Amino acid sequence: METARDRVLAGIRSALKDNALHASGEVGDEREVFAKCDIGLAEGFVKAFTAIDGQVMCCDDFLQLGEKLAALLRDRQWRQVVAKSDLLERHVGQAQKDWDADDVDGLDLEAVEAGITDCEFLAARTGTVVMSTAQAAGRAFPVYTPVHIVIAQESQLVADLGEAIAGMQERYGMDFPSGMYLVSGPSRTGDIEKTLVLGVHGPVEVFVFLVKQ
Amino acid sequence: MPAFGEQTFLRQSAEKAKDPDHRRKMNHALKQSDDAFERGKGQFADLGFARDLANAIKRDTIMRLDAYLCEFEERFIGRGGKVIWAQTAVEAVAAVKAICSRHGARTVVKSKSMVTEEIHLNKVLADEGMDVIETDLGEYIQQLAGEAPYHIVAPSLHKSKEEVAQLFVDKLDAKPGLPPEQLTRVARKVLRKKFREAEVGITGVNFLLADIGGMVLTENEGNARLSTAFPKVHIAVTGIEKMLPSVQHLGLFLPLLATHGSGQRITVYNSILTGPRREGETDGPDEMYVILLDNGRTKLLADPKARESLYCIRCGACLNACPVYKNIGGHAYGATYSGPIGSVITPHLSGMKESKHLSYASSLCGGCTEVCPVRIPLHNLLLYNRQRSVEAGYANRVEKMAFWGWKQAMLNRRLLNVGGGGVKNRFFEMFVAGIWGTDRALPVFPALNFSQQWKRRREEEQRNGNSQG
Repeated sequence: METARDRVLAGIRSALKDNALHASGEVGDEREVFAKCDIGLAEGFVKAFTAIDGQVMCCDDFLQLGEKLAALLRDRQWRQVVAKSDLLERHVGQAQKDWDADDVDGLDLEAVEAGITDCEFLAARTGTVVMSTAQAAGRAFPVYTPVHIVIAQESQLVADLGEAIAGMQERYGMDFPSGMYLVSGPSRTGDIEKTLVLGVHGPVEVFVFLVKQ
Repeated sequence: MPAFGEQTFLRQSAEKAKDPDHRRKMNHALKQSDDAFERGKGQFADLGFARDLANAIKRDTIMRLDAYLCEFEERFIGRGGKVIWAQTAVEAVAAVKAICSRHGARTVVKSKSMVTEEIHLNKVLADEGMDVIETDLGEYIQQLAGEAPYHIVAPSLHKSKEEVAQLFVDKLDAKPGLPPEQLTRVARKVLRKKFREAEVGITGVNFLLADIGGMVLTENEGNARLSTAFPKVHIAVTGIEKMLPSVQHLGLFLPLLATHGSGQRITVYNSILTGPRREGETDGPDEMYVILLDNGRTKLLADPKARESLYCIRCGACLNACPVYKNIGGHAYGATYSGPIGSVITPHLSGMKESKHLSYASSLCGGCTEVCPVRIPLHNLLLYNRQRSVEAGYANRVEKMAFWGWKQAMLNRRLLNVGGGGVKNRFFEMFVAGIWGTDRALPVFPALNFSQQWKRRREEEQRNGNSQG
């Protein structure tokens, strides 16, 4: 029996019989598509991410990161902070226990006030944090938490989305994670009279702690 | 929204065009869009070149659509996803309904999707007793108000903040007079629960990716991410034309879509999904479906001119640029897709005879063509639709006679000069006034026509010149 698949594909093939006329729209030109950025990647990322209401904390090393993070959590008085970051565990670990106030992992997502995660890449031009389901934070956690804190190193910086995507393909090959997320700043809307409001469904605030080493 | 006829269209357009309050709100919203676009396009070194590239890629994609669809299907299935083909809206709706029923869905969360508007999905699921919730803020507002979206990317742009506040009082028992930020908090609180309760999440698709067998969801709020994170089943409904050959094309298309849709460099969230939760991953749906919908698209494809409208990435820029859309708003069209792109595709999708009038609802100013990120020649296609409709014999007798008369007069200088201004004015009052409407003054012909005035002036100049010499 003819399936819907057969019918749709047959429809397409019959519609495209004249393809000689319209095939190929080669643009044989190598011009730059995007405006050139003549500052460094780190500086470029900070500028772009800040412009879309993200916040960047530059840190010389992980020791400083531990201090700055602890200070932020103290300052904001967040009690329920969940970290799902290998980088943090590896480099800051147990020594800085005071910022890991209460571990509510897997218990009550609703109670989480801030979530800490890793990322795959940072794309400088657009101020984009690239995440994927291959990392521990998964799908829901980083977008459900009201405050998202990203731990990253400057070695993860790339110039643009194209490079980040190519980097993901190189890293995972055919074993691409089921979800890859490009996150550019906090959640936002202009749906009511074009008034900008941050934190619609996703985080109200996004911090990137960017470590030099 | 069921398509309605020309008379209803004309009546509703006239009502909106004369409504100063509507005009104020539309001007305010669309001015903001214009300003944002002007800022956002600064990210391109050469926007014209970016549009050329995008056009070339979409052209190639559409000309090999069958191959790309098969490639997508093979890869997506290879990664545990399921692909359902649907030739008609009825088939697509039946497929969604069957999946929801199989999983005993009581709550369904939806992220913004025009294609599910096109197939009128919500009503069918609601009739089955499911609680279907739109989670994009603008779409949620429209659902509370019982209205279809007013704009393909900004569904509630015609509502003032006061109207939204009142709606939240009426429907959600919110405190009166809340500002946009508080209104957003109210919606956030209600909807956060729904994401976690829902058995099924339904989304549209911004791009299908052939090479990795993936789909891309573009948004600013986070609702699409949550709709595809918590529910155990994710159903994505998409038109077959949403294809890109490679994930690498996103480096161009995401900034292009963001700038033309909302004036951003890139939208806040872009999710590239290639299948259900994999072994070793923390969370995610157990089942993921993509429904590939034709619903008349192959008809557009079969027409070598109209085919170009399938390049559309649904950014909404042509609506923002359109003086007709600005004046009559999104509902007057009586079609799922409003504005220039809607007027181009609707007659092909739902019948030339029923919807041909949409192609006449244009000043042919070309603003839409000028702004289209994939260079669809929109105003040419509107003209083309008119031509098709006349060829199909849908022009009425009066129209035909009028154009015959016009042609005769225009081709013959002497005929054009018959009768003075008085005769012409009387002719206009009798035959044109009705079409011209009562809201603008009829043009008045001077006693002498242009060629007579020209001649006289030349003669005067010559006389003056001679007397001086």
